[in-house]
Amino acid sequence: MSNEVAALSIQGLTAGYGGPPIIDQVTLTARRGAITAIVGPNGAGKSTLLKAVAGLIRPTAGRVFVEGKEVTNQPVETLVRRGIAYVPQVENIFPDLTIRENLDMGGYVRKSGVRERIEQLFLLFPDLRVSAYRRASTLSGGQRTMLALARGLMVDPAVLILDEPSSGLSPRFQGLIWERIEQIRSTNVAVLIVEQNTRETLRHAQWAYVLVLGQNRLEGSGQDLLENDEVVDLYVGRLS
Amino acid sequence: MHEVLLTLGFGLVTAAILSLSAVAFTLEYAVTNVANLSHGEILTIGAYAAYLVHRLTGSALLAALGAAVAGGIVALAMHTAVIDPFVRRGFGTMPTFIATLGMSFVIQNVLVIIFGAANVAYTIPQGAPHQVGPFLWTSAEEEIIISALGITAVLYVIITHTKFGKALRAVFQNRDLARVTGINARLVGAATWFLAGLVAGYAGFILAESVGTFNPYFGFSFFLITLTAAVAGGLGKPFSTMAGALIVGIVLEFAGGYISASYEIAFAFAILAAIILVRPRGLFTNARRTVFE
Amino acid sequence: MIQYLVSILTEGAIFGIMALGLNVIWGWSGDFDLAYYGYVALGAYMTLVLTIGQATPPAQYILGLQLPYLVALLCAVASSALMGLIVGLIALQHLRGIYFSIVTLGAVYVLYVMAGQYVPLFDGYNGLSGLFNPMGDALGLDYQSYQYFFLGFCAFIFILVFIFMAQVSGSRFGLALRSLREDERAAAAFGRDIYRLKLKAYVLGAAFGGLAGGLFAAYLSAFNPSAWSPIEAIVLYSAVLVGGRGNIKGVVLGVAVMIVLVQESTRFLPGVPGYPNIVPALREIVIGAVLVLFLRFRPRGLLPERRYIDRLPKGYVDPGVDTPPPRGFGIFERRSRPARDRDRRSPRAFPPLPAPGAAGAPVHRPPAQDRSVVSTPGQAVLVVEGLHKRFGGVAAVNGCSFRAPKGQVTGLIGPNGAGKSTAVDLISGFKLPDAGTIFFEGVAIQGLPPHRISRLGLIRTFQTPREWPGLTVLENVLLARWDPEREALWRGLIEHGRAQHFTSESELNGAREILAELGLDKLSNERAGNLSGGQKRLVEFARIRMAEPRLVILDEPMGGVNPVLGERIVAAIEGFIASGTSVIIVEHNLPFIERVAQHVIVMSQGSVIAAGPFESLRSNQSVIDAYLGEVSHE
Repeated sequence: MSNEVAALSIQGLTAGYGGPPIIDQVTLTARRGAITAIVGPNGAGKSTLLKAVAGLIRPTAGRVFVEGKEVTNQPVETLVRRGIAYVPQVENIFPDLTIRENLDMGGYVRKSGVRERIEQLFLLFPDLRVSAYRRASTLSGGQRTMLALARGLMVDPAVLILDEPSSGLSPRFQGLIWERIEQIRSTNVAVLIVEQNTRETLRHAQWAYVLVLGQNRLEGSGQDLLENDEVVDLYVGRLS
Repeated sequence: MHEVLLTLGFGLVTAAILSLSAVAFTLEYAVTNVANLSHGEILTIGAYAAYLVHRLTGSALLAALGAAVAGGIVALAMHTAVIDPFVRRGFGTMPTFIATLGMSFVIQNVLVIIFGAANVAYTIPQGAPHQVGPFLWTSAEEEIIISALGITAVLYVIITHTKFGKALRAVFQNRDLARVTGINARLVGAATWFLAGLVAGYAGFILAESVGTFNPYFGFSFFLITLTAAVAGGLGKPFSTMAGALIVGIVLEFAGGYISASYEIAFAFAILAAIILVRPRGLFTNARRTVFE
Repeated sequence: MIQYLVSILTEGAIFGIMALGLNVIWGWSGDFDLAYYGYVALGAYMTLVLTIGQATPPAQYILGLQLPYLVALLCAVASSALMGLIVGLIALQHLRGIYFSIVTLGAVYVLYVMAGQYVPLFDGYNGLSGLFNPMGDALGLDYQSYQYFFLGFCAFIFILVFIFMAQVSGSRFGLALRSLREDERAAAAFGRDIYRLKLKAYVLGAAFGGLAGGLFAAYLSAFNPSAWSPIEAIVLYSAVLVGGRGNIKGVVLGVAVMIVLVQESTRFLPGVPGYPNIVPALREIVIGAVLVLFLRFRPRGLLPERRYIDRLPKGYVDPGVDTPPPRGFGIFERRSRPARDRDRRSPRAFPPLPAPGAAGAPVHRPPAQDRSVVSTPGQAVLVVEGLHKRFGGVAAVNGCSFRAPKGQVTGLIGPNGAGKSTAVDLISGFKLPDAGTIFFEGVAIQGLPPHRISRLGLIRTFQTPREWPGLTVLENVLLARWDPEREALWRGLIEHGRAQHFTSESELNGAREILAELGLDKLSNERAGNLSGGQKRLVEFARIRMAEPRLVILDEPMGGVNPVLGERIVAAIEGFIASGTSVIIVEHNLPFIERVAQHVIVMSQGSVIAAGPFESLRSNQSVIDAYLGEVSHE
């Protein structure tokens, strides 16, 4: 990858929910065309980090840059226009709207090309095309996740932030999701992902950050971290 | 039969006013998930504003506009001062619900201070009743029904065909997700409350016109009927709310023939309780209602 | 001046009783009951019609007896309680939140309208009057001394009520009630009959409202709809909110604050001639504003509900009032367990935990049972046959049948939408099956409500941990055991001593041990809601250990769980089996299932497609197609 400017760059980000900060001076970079993973034990602040980057939580310190331009402290509504798309872990679709309407809504900030973009995404997620006029609430868990991903992609983001997309999904669907994520990556999007299944995540990640107690602990390529004993014992375990 | 049609005709007038008030209430609910107990006060303020404007200008049209604008401003103020701070901090439905009760109290008493507690009446000519098909209406009542239909049509277009309407529906279903897709939920909320206030303020004017006299508490008593209509239609769903208002308005009018008018509200509440117990999601949704499901 | 003080204190006592009654419904049971003032009014009215004698025309009202005041008071209490029962039966069955509030608002409004419009009842808007100095004649008191006497009388009753509430507050009944407020599903899963408990609380509150109303009628010597104005009700609710819901001292403080506010807030404002309404209106504005401001800035009130702090053996240090719990590895530090050290690996590189003292009380556990001893093969703890459930047009569970062997861990796996969660809901009573039978240890349980099934010994967890957030961890664990005797209201009234109230010494020790084993003992006084997700899961396991069910169904226990915590969970599950509890686990985490489950059931599209030991499933084609896909684990 020879991108000069990182799609996403975070420096010294500190944030919490009032009270002591959950993430403390976190620094990371995510590049286009790469999957950047954040792993670590529970309570490490991974979800909080994603929410802070997405603008749902206001950071108390630190700076955030998207493609070199600073977006620190901007609310989530404007960050979408700057190229950050966030896919939450739960409640990530509009249940009473159809698939098509969900995607439509995803393209809310687009000035044009909503129809075309929907067509492109149907190529990437053929299952969604089949059920395009079904209410999102009737979809199975795996289909919902696909829809949530597609919705995020409607804005042609520079950075796609995924918060545990495969949580609660069967192993088969987990495999499918990773396939899609790979495909998304190859369209030159920077994927920033937090996942429970650490082993699988590290296998797919070009780069990964280990977060412990809200702070940077380690970083390296996914492969390297998979071979790191400490990481395996403490964060990967034998049960994943 | 003639009796029935006449009553039906009066019921339609009530239903018209009720549907506007109920739709406004349900819009407030839809966008902020708050059952606004001070909604009736928006109607009251609309009625008083129309009174003042009419006293000043003598024009019923300007009075109606004044009512709408006053209602819009009040609703916007409610949203900015109380509702939005609660919603933004994730306070949950109950605390906000109770806060609107407090607000209702404050507003009623402010009106008492300004206008006194006595009844007030318009001096707007109503016109004589005349035949319109099988119904007997005054020209004022005709205007009420026509304007209600018109406003309903406009709302329909706004909600279903504009970008704003889409944003409104998105915020109703999933506020955070709507924000994540770039919708400024706060702005949408404020705009919706302003819109609801416009409608509710006007509803207050036509209600006062139709009833004859009003005082600082009259909005609250009508609100209880509004609540019935809104719940009958299903909270947060504007179009079924209108249908619910139609049904409730007509039922009340018929019941009013058999029960003294002063029991009207109690009767409305009996209906409300029955609806909530059997179909809490509204008459038009088949939803089981155990505590767990 | 003295007169003023006497009347304020009397009012205070009466409102205090009202507020304490409201606190039972709103503070402890958690329902914002807008009908409450109606019970007060009814109490006042009933007291009057039973004491002022026959109606002299044109006045008309019901009854019109001349009973002694105390008798009338009791009747007032009974009638308010009856009214509360009727409203509660209707409203509490299926309604919560704003719908409940709206229906109760409706109820009180109907009462209000009836009282005012239906003249034969209570003489309409004229109302009733004439209750002068009840009991004063019998005692031969003059007007002056009567005021003191009545104050003393009201104060006496207030103190009795306060003591009553204090007893309820510290009782197991009160604790169980509060658990309903915190999380109803979890309460039902642990054997509480939600409806019955809430109804009891509601009627109790209404009864006290009636009592206060009866005193109020004597205080005012009259009652009519204008005495039943919204301002009185708003002051009452504000008092409870401002003072602190759930805290009886807070509630009383709130009454004091509101009374002072009502009386004094406009004292120094000059009245405006010609506008008599202004000063009272200003007063009401102040009260409304206070209500909103407190909701915004201090919703828990001046004196929030207190935690129960447990005194643990010496060396223990309470981390302090409501501090955030320790995060990270500290809580998972292992202790060597004498009887069953089956840990396979020791933890590495844990940051040292600042030890506050003794490492914990010695663990008294029954000797470990040999896990390989399994009950007679073929003996099933749960038999499900032909279970069906439709939602709308979709069959979530479609002819599901399986057996779970006793004394073993049975895994229930399958893709999303397979109907696993629905099946669990059906088995545990949270949803009603359309068809099919469920036999738990030979007893048919389909159609039973969740609390009955729980009492039979079947307990389930939920996908997200459902602790009772406002209660402490210790209280969470203690409540796991349904204790019908101790949870009776009368029992709570007579027990002494805080700990004896809602638990016994041996039960308390048992709870402490369990918490210590799971490494939660330092958190036992923390509100469970402050814990991290992993800690909450451990609390759930502690609860199950405490409840000692014969079957526990774990719904995705490994969701969001890191490897270290995972080991704890595996150990906890093995502990269940060792103590005789059968286990069914719904999970997606296959290596985990492979490790702990002896028997696995696979569901897909609402029915069971395969069952057997895990290895046999790996080669089962339909299972692979439906679920496993490409299995890439080692």
